[in-house]
Amino acid sequence: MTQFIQACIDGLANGAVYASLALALVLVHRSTNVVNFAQGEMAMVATYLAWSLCQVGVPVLVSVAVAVISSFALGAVLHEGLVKRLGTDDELNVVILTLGVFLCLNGLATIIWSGTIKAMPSGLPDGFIDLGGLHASSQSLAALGVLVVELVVLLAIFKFTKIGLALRAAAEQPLETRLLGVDSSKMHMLGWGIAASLGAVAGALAAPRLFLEPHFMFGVLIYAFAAMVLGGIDSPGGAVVGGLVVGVIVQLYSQYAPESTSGLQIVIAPATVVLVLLVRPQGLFGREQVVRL
Amino acid sequence: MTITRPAEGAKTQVAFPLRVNRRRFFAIALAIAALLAPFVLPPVDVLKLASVLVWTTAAVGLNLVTGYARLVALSQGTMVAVGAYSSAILMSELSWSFWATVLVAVSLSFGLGLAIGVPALRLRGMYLALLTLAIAIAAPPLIKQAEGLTGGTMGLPVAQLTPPGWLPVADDQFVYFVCLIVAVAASLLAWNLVRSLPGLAVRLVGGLEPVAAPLGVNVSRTKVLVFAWGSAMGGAAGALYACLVGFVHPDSFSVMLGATLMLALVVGGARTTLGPLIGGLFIVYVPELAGGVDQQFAGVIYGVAVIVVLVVAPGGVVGSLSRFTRGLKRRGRARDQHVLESPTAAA
Repeated sequence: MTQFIQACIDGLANGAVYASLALALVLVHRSTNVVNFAQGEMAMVATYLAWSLCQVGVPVLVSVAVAVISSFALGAVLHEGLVKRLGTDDELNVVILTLGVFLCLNGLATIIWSGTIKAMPSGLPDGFIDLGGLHASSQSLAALGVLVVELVVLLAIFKFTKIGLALRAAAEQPLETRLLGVDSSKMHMLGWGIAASLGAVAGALAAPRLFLEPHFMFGVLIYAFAAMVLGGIDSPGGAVVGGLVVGVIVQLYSQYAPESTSGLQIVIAPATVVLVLLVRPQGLFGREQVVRL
Repeated sequence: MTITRPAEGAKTQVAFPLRVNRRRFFAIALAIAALLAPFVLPPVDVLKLASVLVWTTAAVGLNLVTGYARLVALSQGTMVAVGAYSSAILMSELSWSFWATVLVAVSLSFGLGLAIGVPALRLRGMYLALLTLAIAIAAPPLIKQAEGLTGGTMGLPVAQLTPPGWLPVADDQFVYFVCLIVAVAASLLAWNLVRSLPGLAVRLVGGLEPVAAPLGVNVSRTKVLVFAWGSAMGGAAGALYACLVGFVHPDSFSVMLGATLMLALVVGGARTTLGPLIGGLFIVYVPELAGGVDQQFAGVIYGVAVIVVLVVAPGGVVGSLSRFTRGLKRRGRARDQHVLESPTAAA
């Protein structure tokens, strides 16, 4: 029984990482109606930036903070320079654009930082909490804590601030919002910037356990997609729940599934996506997509 | 004074030279080049061109699905995998002839396309992208798991394709012609479809979906069938891949393949006849040109090319070229007009 609960705890910790990237994906979709396939790579680049700063002696948490802020700039620039130029109706082309950005960032990172695996410090005190035979590392707790903070802050912004309202309005009805005096495209840019920052945080959380190499966010991205689809493509709360659920399922699978099927672990993510899309496309907490003609 | 326009197709002194039978001339030149190439180039290059044709076939299918019908199909790489593996397994385990395996490859991928297309009907753009992405991601691990059938992580060797005795061509030339036949067949099918009435239905569904149903198009059937046929072409490409490369391995068919095909199609020119061919050339030769310095440069070049195309020239290489020549044509015609209007022209 303790083994089961321990697996759940570890799963929640992993899930927190998936969920934090899923939050970024949800935010991008919520503000601009597209899925940013390059979100993971943007996070990866930010994490490498933090790593480089650490190498020259900057304290870890400061490096991460700098990376998060620069990531905001990267997201904003990407939107302003590229996504905006494709027009708001062209979802297909934006998807392809993000695939192109994905390849660019991956290649550039490998060229700049090389493919050798690097260790990323977590900036947290090494330690465990031991409670009745169960233990959780400081990193796991930090991941969960950061996730909760992110979610609360995001929801608060969306619900209680003017800017949150403007973000939501600009996402759903950009033209009408513009008529009301809000610069819709600035709101879109803001959405991308914040999402990129969230992605950077996800990268910083993931790197200490996954080790830094140009593809380290691939797996996280795939699970984040599963989390986003499961929770609801527009729902931040759904992303968190989805991420945690996926994390736990994956951990339980790796714990209890027969050795011979260990290679199928990664299939959990696409299987989740397929299942949800076939049964309930809007996910657990999403709104049903209605097309008005 | 009447302005007499020259008869269509007739040679005129001042007409812009390319106006005359431009398309036909170009097509014939391309055909001749394609037929002569294997006898002129060394085997290495012949096989490279054969691989261009393999990716062209897959891209033609993708062009129908994602270009004309606007359905994001990141699953095309998986269709290539299905075709490649079915061909490989049938040829190596059951000693089937190649063309028989092509039929099976096409049928299986057609079926898989149907299987995806039907439930995908209720999924809007982004969701469809995620569904096909999920399938592309799930494929390699599933292939690896089915070790008994697919050879798992060891991969599966494929018997070499040899020309029949009565054909005076070398092995590499034969493989090239096999690929050429399939690629040309796929392109002709697509070309014909697009210009037909069902093709118009496909283009309506892709470009102006709300209008399609009121005009009498069965939107669901069109989407599913287009998805299936496009996937079938991917399967055909897979069969070609198996016999060309001689070896199939799950990692060759990762999600990157699906993404690369899509990028190549966009760069070559979606919704054009030759766009898929340019895309195929792109896939084969960019890593070469880039790989000299660094493998990763290939990825960056792909990415940059796609970004540049999308932002600056959404028609891709072929689309932009045809816009360019249309502009020249217009200027040429204006020049004719000017000359014909001069007082010395025949009344």
